[in-house]
Amino acid sequence: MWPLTRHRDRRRFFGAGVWTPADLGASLALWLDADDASTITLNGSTVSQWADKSGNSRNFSQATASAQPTYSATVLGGKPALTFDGTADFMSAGDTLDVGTTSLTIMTVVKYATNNQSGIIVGKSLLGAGAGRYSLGRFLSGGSFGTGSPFNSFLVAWDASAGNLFTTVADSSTSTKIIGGEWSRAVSNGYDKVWDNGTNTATLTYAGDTNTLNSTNELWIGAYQNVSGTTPPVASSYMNGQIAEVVIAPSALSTTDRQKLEGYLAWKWSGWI
Amino acid sequence: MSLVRNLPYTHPYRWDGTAFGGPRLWRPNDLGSALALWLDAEDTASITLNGSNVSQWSDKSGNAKHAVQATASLQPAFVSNGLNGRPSLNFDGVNDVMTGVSTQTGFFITVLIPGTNSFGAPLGFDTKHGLIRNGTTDNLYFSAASMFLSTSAQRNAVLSTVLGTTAAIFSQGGDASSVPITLGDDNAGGNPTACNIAEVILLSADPDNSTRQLLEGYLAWKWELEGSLPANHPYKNRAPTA
Repeated sequence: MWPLTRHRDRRRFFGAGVWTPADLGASLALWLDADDASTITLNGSTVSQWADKSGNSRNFSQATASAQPTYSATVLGGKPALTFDGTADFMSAGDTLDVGTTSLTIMTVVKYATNNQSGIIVGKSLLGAGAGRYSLGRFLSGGSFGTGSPFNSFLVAWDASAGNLFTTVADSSTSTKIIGGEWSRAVSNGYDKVWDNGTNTATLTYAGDTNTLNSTNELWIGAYQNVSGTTPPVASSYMNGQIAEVVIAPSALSTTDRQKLEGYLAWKWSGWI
Repeated sequence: MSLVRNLPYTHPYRWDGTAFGGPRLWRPNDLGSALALWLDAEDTASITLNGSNVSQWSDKSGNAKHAVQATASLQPAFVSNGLNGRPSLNFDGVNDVMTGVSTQTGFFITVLIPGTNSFGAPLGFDTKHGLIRNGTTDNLYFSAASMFLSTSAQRNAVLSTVLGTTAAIFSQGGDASSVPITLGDDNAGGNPTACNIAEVILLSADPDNSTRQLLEGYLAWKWELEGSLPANHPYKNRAPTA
């Protein structure tokens, strides 16, 4: 029975009863899955493209070989992940996935290699003010980038025209974890939340907003864009570690859907499915 | 396994991955009527706090054999990160003790962290020891006053009569008796001992090897002690599934 469950298309065997992020339907904006080899284009041992499984074609690519992450076959729960070197690697999906008027949920499976270095997982980022930017990753205290600080944080940083909204929580783990950010812009119920292995570890509340938040910045994984929104990325923003899966929803997911997503990621990247 | 066990205790998918094509993890309530008592510090809903102390540790077996202590000065402390980031109850080795009511007992298995240089019984059955510790060597052992025969003693699934001092899974079985359990002490003249207790499971009768191994696997993977299981243990590499 179990070998069948390891197949990337488990629905073929289990039917619609097996939940995957595809069941989020319209609430699925991006889905990167390192366990699905068909989505990964290799350039030798590095990855030149990581294709989006959401149906929205938000494929991430990196043409420069020296900036391509490495494909690591059996690193997290016996499954593959993309290893970002912390010095040069990142990928871009181009200018896509604007927030517009919606909220946002990002859920990822990552493993940082070090406990004292900032590094971005995913974000439509810009070093400096810019409506419509957002990102999830590890920052230093105060939201800066660098190394050597004794205090690291996961931070969901947003610009909702109301200013920067960011939520921090101390975190220096080098264990594999499900780390996520949830941004609700509902008027009178606005918040940023950090989710760490299914636990809400930090929350920032605000009034919410109805602004249309678009930007011309690119959507990246593995690094944060510089003040001009161009390459090279911010020097100390490179992810040093592994990214296994990234799911983005254009909404603050319901508790039920968020827990399904966490459950799916937990069972999958523990090697059970 | 680590991502699954790191989900919150009450997360709907902490124990059951069938929604995603995975298995359901085996748990003590799968034993049915053989389960006599189940105390689980990670399930904070089963803990009644009196400030930072614990006044009741509720039995999850369905038999309502709760361990209680009404006197505040005798109550153990609740430690939220007592063992590998998960909760446990800390008994001070001076006078902390919790007592249950009589239950049919033919086997116990427990996860605990012994303290240091503290003679006494982390686990007792009325006037009998479940475990007794030498206050000088810090070794846990079984004596003539123990509840069950020493030859059945297990530490981390290895038959043992002289037991170590670090966090471990201890178990022993024998003839069934109906006796009240005590935690942090026994009623054999007062043998309080410093320790942290994370989980205690009693069965109404001595189980077969496969059932004992299920319990060992469940406890090991839950409390991150799987590295201590012997290499040939059936659940060395994976938690047991239902």
